[in-house]
Parts: sequence; C-alpha cells; structure tokens
Amino acid sequence: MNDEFLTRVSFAGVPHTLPHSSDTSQTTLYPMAPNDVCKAYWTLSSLAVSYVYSINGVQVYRNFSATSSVIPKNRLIAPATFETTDFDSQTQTSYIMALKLDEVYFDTDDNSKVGLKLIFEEADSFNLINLCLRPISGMNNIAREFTFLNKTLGVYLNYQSPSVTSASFSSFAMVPEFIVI
Amino acid sequence: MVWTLEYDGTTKPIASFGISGIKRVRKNLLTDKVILYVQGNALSSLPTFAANIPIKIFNDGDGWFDGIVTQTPLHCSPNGEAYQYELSGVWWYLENLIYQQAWKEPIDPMEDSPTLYNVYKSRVILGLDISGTQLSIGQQITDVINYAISCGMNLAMGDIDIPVYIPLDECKDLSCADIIRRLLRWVPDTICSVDYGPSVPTISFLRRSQMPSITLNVSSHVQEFSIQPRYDLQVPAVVLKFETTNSVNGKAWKESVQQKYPESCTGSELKALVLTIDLEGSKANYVVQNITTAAIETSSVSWWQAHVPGLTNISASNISIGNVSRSSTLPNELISGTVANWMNKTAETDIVRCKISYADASEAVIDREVAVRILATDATTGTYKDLLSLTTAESIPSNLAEQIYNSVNPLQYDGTVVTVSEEVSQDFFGKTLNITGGQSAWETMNAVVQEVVENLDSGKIFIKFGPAKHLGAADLAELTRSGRLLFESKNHSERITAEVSSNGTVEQGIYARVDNTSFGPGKYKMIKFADPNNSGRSIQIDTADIAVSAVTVKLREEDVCESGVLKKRYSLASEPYSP
Repeated sequence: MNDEFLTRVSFAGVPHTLPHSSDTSQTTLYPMAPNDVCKAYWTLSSLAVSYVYSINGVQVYRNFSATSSVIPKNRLIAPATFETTDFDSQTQTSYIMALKLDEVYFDTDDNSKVGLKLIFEEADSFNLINLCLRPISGMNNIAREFTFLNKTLGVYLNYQSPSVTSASFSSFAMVPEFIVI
Repeated sequence: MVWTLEYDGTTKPIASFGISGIKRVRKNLLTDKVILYVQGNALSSLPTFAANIPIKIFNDGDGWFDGIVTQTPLHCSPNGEAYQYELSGVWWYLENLIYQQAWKEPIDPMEDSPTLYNVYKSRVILGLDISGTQLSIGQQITDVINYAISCGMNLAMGDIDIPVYIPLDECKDLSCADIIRRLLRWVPDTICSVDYGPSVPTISFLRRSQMPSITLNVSSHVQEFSIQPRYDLQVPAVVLKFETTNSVNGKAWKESVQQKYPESCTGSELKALVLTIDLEGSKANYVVQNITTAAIETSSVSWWQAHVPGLTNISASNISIGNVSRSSTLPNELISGTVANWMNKTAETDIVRCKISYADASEAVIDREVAVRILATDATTGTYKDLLSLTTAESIPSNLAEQIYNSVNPLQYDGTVVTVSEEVSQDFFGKTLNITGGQSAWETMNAVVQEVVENLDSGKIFIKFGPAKHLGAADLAELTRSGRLLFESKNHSERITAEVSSNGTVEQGIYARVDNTSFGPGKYKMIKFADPNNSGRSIQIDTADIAVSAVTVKLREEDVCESGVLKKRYSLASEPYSP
C-alpha cells in the first residue's frame, strides 16, 4: 500500500516537467483519455507480455515482464520506465518491450487526446520474421488484437516468403499491474 | 256677568247645562281645577261632559278657564243625584308630559368625525342647551314650555324673567311640571299663573318682586282672615360650597369654591343656609412622549462608528469618510422615543450613505460603500405633551347665593283671607297681597298668594298666601334639599358632542428609531485571518504583496492527480505578469 498523494499535473495527468510532444506520429498508444494516461504514469507497477507463434513448424512461446520500483510520489521527478530486452539463441531472435513514461504526446487541437509511446518488437537475425505493432511493407503478416490501458491495439507477425513456408500467430496478451493506493 | 261654557264645539250659558256649584281652585305650581255639578237623573243618564273633552268657561266673553274633563264622579243622596265634574287646567298637561331633551348621537360612531343628529331622551340636563350654552332658570323653563307646545299643548309663554343660573342638574323621566318645580326650588318666591283671558292660555312665572300687588281692606268684603309674620323662615345668610373633582391623566384632586351672600357672612350664623353643591370637574388626559435626538453629523468619523458596529474597534484616525449623501434634509436623528403626528414634528426615514476607507489589524478596505438607515426628524430632545381629551369643568353659577338670599331672606307673611261679594270679579292669583285697615306692616307685606279658591255661587273667595311650602321654602331643612337632591351632571359634554367621557385614544408614535446598516461591496486591501487560539497561525492576503502595478490574483482551475486519478481543483493564483 502506498501513501496517498496529490500533485499538480498537466492536462495530460503527468508532471508539468515531463516532456509533452505534439508529434503524435511517434506514439503507438494514441489517442488515450488523460485519465488513463494519468493512472498509468502514476500507478503502473509492472507490465507482463505473453504470446505464442510458430514459423515453419517451430512454435515459439514468450512470456516476460517489466517492472518499475519508482513509487508514485517519486514519479513527480523520476518517471517510471518499463523495459525488457533479450535474445533467444535457439531461434536467433531478439525482442524488446518498453513503455516509455518519460514523454507524453498530445493533440494540439484537442487536449483530451493524449498518448504514450509503447515499444514492442521481436525480430530474427535473418530478417525472416518481425513481430511488432505495425505491418511491414513487403512482408506477409498475421495480425492479432489486444487491449492495453483501455486501448485496443493491433500486433503483427510479419514474415518473408518464400523462406517462411508456414506461420501462425495464436495468441498475444499484454497485462498491466497497478499499485493500489 | 254672563257665564258661558264651550263644550264639544258648542257655547251655551252655563245655566242651560244645569250646572251649579262652580268652584275654581288655583294653586301655585299645581293644576288649576274647576269643580261643578250637574243635577238631574244621574243614575240613568250618561255624564253631560265626557272625560278628556276640552271645556272652556267664559265670563262676559272673556276666557276664565280652559281645560279638560278629568273626573266625573256620581253623587247620590236622599237630596238628589248629581254628577260632579272636575276640570283640569293646562298644568295638567304639564303633569302628564315627560320632558325630553335633544342629545347628539353619531350616525356612524366609527368615523373619525361622525355626523351627529339629534335624539330626544328623557335623561335631561337642566341648565344647559344643546349647543353647550348655560341656561338660566327662566330660559330652561321656557324650553320646557316650548317643548310642551311642540308636543301639541295649547299654551303660550307669557312673562318670565328669572336670570338665575344654577348648577347643571341631571335627572331623568320627569314630567314637565316636575322639572319646573325642580328648577323653582332655587327661587321659591316664584309664582306660576295661567291667564285664561287670551284665546290661548298664557303661562307666566313671576318672582315676588315682579308680581303686581293687590290690596284688600279688612272692612270691605273681608269675611275672615288670619295672618302671621314668618320671622322663622328668614335666612340671614346663604353660603354655597361648590366642590369640583378635577383630574389630569387619572390623578384627581378636589377644588372648593365658596359663594356667599351677604359678603360679610361666614356661614356659621344660626339658620344660615349652607349648601354643598357638587359640580362636574374638568377632566384632562395628556399624552406625554420623551424623545432623544442627536444631530446627524455625517462628516464625523465617530458618528459613523456609532452607527456601523464594524467600525467600532477601528481607530478613528485610520478611518476616512467620503462621498456622503442623504435622502433627507432634516437635521436630527431620533435616538429614543417615538415621533407622533400630534407633536407637529416631521420624521422620515433617511438613508445616509458614504464611502469609507479604513485599515486595522485584520483588514484594510478602501472606498467601501456603507449605508445607514436612520429616522431623521426636526424634533429636538425633550418632553412633548399633547392634550388628548378635555372635559371642561362645569362653571359656577354666578350670584346664585345672592339670588337665593333675595328669595328667602325677606320677611314673609303667612295666612288666609276669605272675601265675600256678589260677584267673583277680582283675580288675586299671581299677585302679592297687602291688607289695609289693620297693622301698618300688612299694608306693604307683599305676601305671595299661593292658592285661590273662587266659588261662583256664593261669591266667596278663599285666599292663601305666604311662602311656597311645596317648593321647600317653609323651613331650612327643606331649603337644603335643593343641594342634597342635586348631583353633579356627568354627561353634559355627551349631550353636546355625543362623546362619552373617556380617556381618549392615545395616538401611538408612528416613527421610531431605525438602525440598519448596510455594507456595500468593499475594496479590501488586506484581509488577515487569525487563529484565535494561536496568534502565530494566520492567513494574510494583502494586495501590498503584489509588487506589480496591474495584476489580478484569483481562483483558477488546475489539473491535479490525486493518488493516480486525474482531477481538477481551484487554486488562488495570479495571472501571468512580467516581472
């Protein structure tokens, strides 16, 4: 249980000192309600990702998470960061998941639309597959949807043909955990 | 002499009616009567003269009696049968008519100044007319006679000259005759006589000194007489003690005034007539109002401090007054008491406004508009008094003691005389009698004839003279009854104004002090909140802390995060300014 706190924030629900960017093309979680951004910034404690896909008959299971130890009151001056990076030697694949809370994005015409930058990507060293939050031009893809912070997003298993003869994307989940105050 | 009788429109000689034994009896202030008889078969016949029918008797064509048939007794004896008829003169009407006076009464008593109309009441106040003017005995008797005439009585007013004023005498349900007798108690030497000579009987009231005298010689027609001087009835002095009870606002006191005659008398003389007479005193009711006022000094800081409680604790030197205005121009302010219309002073609500700037430890205000509602007046501090109601005291009759003295002091002669002659030709009634051929004092005794009985058949006249016993002049005890039977009149003002004696209606003051302060929107320079339990804890908002010349600090909305939830709040903040 954390202490209650009260602090002045910007319209986006984050400290005024946090960079506010109007370049919404850089964000993947957009548009979000300011209240959802506020809740994520101040009380998100961990982020867990799990997904399953198969390429050319090889099935891959991933399950990892990112955690921040910055307590809410301290996030006034030190934004929490949720980031995980790893390499799978068997599949020669590297993956990254990061929710960067050190910058928010907003619509200059409509301050009720704000966003955060969520990074997720898994790619092999041969560039045969790429699992990320956008389809990649020139590659085949299998898309799935998931809900995160009240926002429905698409996640794509991009792969090269004809090198990849078979591909499937059976599940994807990203689950946040919040601090209870 | 030719005697005729008029009955039922027919005038015939008396003999033709079979009348015999005519006798006329006249007594002072009593009903004149004529007794006559009609011989015949009375047992089987109706009376010749019916009751209540007017009858006139003439002597050689001149009126001798005028009255109505009042009694018709039948007499039967071995010598025969006869109807006796008793005729009553005009005084009979006065005995049977209740005197009434006009009183004022309001048509609508609820009106402030109601229209009054006359109502006749048998409650009467003797000695006062409807306009409030006091009446002498003569004037009051004239009013009684005129009232009887107005009621249809066949009577005319003759001589009357009794300018004697008496205390107001209130009584009720008395006949005209009783009223006249009541009035003449004050002047018992007065004789009332009726002259039947004119076509309408004429009634006169003459005092002893005013009456014509008639002289009889004891050797001429006088059959018998008795006479005695009444030294015992002479009164050496008359002392009237008038007592009035006056009151002001319910506080009463007695006031006594003594009237006496002769002036040198004391009232302690033997046989002195001493009467105590109550008169209605004056009654006055005042309304009294104490008021306190003060000058309206709008330029004075202390005046404003006295009216605006919030300024009381501020040092006068820290207060400045400006832009004063008033809605009234009256100079003073009512502090206590009330202003009523009867004070003949003006009072009105006054709104006094100004702009006040001040500073104290808690706040500093500039140009704060303050309004005070007060009652402005041109009255000044003092006691105001106004007459609410006044009943004037009954005035003391002037010279009443002298008039009574003149009536009862002269020596009276008491006695009777019987004369006999062929005809009853001399009229003694209403005259004073002197007798010659005897003692010299009798020749000028001027004895008042009180009763005359004339018998036409025998020519015999019985004369009784002396003081009027029925008026109470016979002895001192009776004389004092004039005072004992008289009570003060408590309603004489009611008769005139229709207002029953009362304390009146107190008009309440309609303007009382008003104290009502209104603060307009002030311009605070500084406000300081302090914890009364800890002087070190305070909140101070002071415009002096704003260093720049034009900036506004006010509540502004801002975003906050409360434990992870985005909310809004207001905070006091200035607008941006250039340092």
